[in-house]
Amino acid sequence: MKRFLLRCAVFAALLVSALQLVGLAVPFYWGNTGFATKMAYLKESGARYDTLLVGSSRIFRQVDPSVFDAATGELTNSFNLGVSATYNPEIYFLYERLLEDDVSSDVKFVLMELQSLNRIARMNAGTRAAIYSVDLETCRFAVSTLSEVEARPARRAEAIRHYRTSFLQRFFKLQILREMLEFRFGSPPAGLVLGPNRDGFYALELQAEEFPGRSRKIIARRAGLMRSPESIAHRRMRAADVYRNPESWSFSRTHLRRLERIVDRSRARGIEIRFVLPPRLPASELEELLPIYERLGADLAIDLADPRAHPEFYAMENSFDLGHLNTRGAERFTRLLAARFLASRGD
Amino acid sequence: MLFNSVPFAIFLPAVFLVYWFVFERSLRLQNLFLLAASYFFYAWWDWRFLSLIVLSSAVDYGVGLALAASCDPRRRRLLLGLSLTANLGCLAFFKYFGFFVSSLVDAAAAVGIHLEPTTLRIVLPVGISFYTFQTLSYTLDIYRGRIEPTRDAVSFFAFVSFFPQLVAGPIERAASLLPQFERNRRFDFQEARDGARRILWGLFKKVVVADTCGRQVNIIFAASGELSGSTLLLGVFYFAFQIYCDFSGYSDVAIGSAKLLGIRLRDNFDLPYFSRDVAEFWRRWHISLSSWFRDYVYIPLGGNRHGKARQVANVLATFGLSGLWHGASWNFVVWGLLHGSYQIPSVLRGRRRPDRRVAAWSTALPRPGELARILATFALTLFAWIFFRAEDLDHALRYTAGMFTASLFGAPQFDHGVPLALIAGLLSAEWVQRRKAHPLQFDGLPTFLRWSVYLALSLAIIAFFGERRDFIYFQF
Repeated sequence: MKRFLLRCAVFAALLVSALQLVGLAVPFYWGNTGFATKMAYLKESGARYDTLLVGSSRIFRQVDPSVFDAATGELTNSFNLGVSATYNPEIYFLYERLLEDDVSSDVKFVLMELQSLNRIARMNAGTRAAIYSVDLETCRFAVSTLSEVEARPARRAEAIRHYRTSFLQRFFKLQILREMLEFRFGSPPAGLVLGPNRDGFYALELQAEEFPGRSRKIIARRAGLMRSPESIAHRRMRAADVYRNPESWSFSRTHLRRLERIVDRSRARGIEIRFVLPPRLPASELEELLPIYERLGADLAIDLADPRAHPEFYAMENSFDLGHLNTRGAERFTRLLAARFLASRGD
Repeated sequence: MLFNSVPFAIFLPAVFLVYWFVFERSLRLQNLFLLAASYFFYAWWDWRFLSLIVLSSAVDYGVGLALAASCDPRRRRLLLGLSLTANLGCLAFFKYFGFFVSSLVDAAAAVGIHLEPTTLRIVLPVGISFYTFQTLSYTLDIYRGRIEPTRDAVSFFAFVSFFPQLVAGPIERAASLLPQFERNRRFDFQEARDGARRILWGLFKKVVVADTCGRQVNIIFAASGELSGSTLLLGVFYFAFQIYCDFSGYSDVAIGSAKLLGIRLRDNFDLPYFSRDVAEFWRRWHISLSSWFRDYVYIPLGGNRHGKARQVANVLATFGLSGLWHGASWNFVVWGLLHGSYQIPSVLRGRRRPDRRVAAWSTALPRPGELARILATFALTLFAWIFFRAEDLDHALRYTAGMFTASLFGAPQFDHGVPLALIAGLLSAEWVQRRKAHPLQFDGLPTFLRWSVYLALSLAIIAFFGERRDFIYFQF
């Protein structure tokens, strides 16, 4: 019996080692096609940028690097590294590894979207995107953050289960090994993420016009807003309520510590980082983010989400869909972001 | 709980460790633990249907004891009738009720009578076709005086519900499996090692080959009306390997899991696609079911003892019933009848193949004539698989008509590189190792090479382990 168990243990160890070797053979961003496309472009083009704009579609679709650079008086030469559906904690996982990558060697400034913790929806559980970035540290961070901010026990338990499952799937490469090998040995990723200026920005309207066949979901979201334009006013009202009622906020010390670590690591690499609260955030996200924002302070964080201070970002003429600005709104948002960035530096 | 699932990957080692480390000294506790583990395994799907297994077990346990205690032929027939009614009644209700009703409605409509049937939404309990046949064979064997009934209820209930073979066989006979529950079991390194290898090979066949072929099969059969003949031919070719790797893969995992627990199950597949005629195919395909039908249907019907005409009728009846066992639909019956009709020429000739060894037993490659017979047999089974896989008879006929067109000789649509490469690899491994129980029995190879193969197969299983796919035979 001992002999059999010993052989099983040795085989299991060999198998796990082989799986970990495969993990080492792919870059850290392999599971995020949009991010991988942008990273491949940065590496292959040799283009050097001193400013990176990092976040989800709220950065990708709303911060135009050419406008930003013009507004900063060419202080910056920026690239939009935002990618749709790239949330916390994935964004922190990517950013902290990016700091170790050559791509960030010339970077002086980073503007990163401040995000609440992604709960991993049931429909997304078990997908590559929900698995590839959940290492032990990310899993611990998510579980700890959820324990602090998620008041609904069933939702908390489900989200924690999803993170733990994702961690095990990542460790044993379950449901992702084939995609990892395809990434490693297949053709490079290609998506519509670089935008017409090859600076990583692609306005929603423009993509919907240029590639309607590949933009059906985007077009559907736009149609949804046109059917019920009052949804923006509702979101605006709910956001304002959250600003007015700090008792509804839920603070995560774990999240704050993670951001502080990101600041420290960035500084160690000579990078100034600012966290950005973009407009149109749902109330549930704001409840988690405002206490963090307050503790980070105006030196490190830029708030453009307050509808009382920035009603223009909730105007229909600046909207593409419920959660995003259109080209015009994005331009206004980018200019204001640049101005607030300069102000935070004392320029 | 599926064999190709994470819960089973936790369940089996846990059962293995508790079984050998905690209960090794007590046979009764070991059997009780196996019974509890088996019920847990089944309840993972739906605990409510456990009652059917318990009922089936209880009826046959009681009937077995009563049969042994009675010499009155009338009473014995009544007891046998009770077992048949309970087991086949459950099977008929859960599996065939809808089929019988719809067939009755269709038949009535054909003669101008329009019936308004009450429809019931009946869920088919997983494995019911398998465990009812297993427990039924126990009672039939006692009735015929072939075996003595057991008085050990725990052993009997564990025999009926033994988790490795509970939901998709092999359908075991009490004479071979029940005694294994009644005697002490000792851990055997060689058996356990072979069991682990067999599980690995079974999972490879299921997860890598069967599921890859299955994806192509689903696409091709769903769009059969729009595809070329050569693509449709490839569709049924893939299905032949999907169902083979799916079911034989399940059987391998079942046999391997049982070996880890010191229990031997019978082989269920023995290189069926290397068969030289259809009779041989059925000696190598789903062996436990074929022999069940032979022993409890074909021979009681008279077998070959009453002339050629009766033998032909018996063959057709047995294969028709076998088809119906696979599914409550006429296309399964046609599939069975096709296989029965394939055998009529050899029945009429009275020719029996004395060589029960696999093709080219003593040579590296088959002789041309042998190869031709293998290919012809495969072609016949391939044609019959169309009826097995199609949604209904009409779909099968349309599929067949679409296949036999001029486009049969054109280039197929879609990319077929990966599934064809996997099938070629599978056939090569099986051919080279055809004299062994399974392809991973290669003790002559250096350890490094053997372990490299195990590692490569494991990585392939993990790489192909995607969306969860049920085993095809669970639906039967």
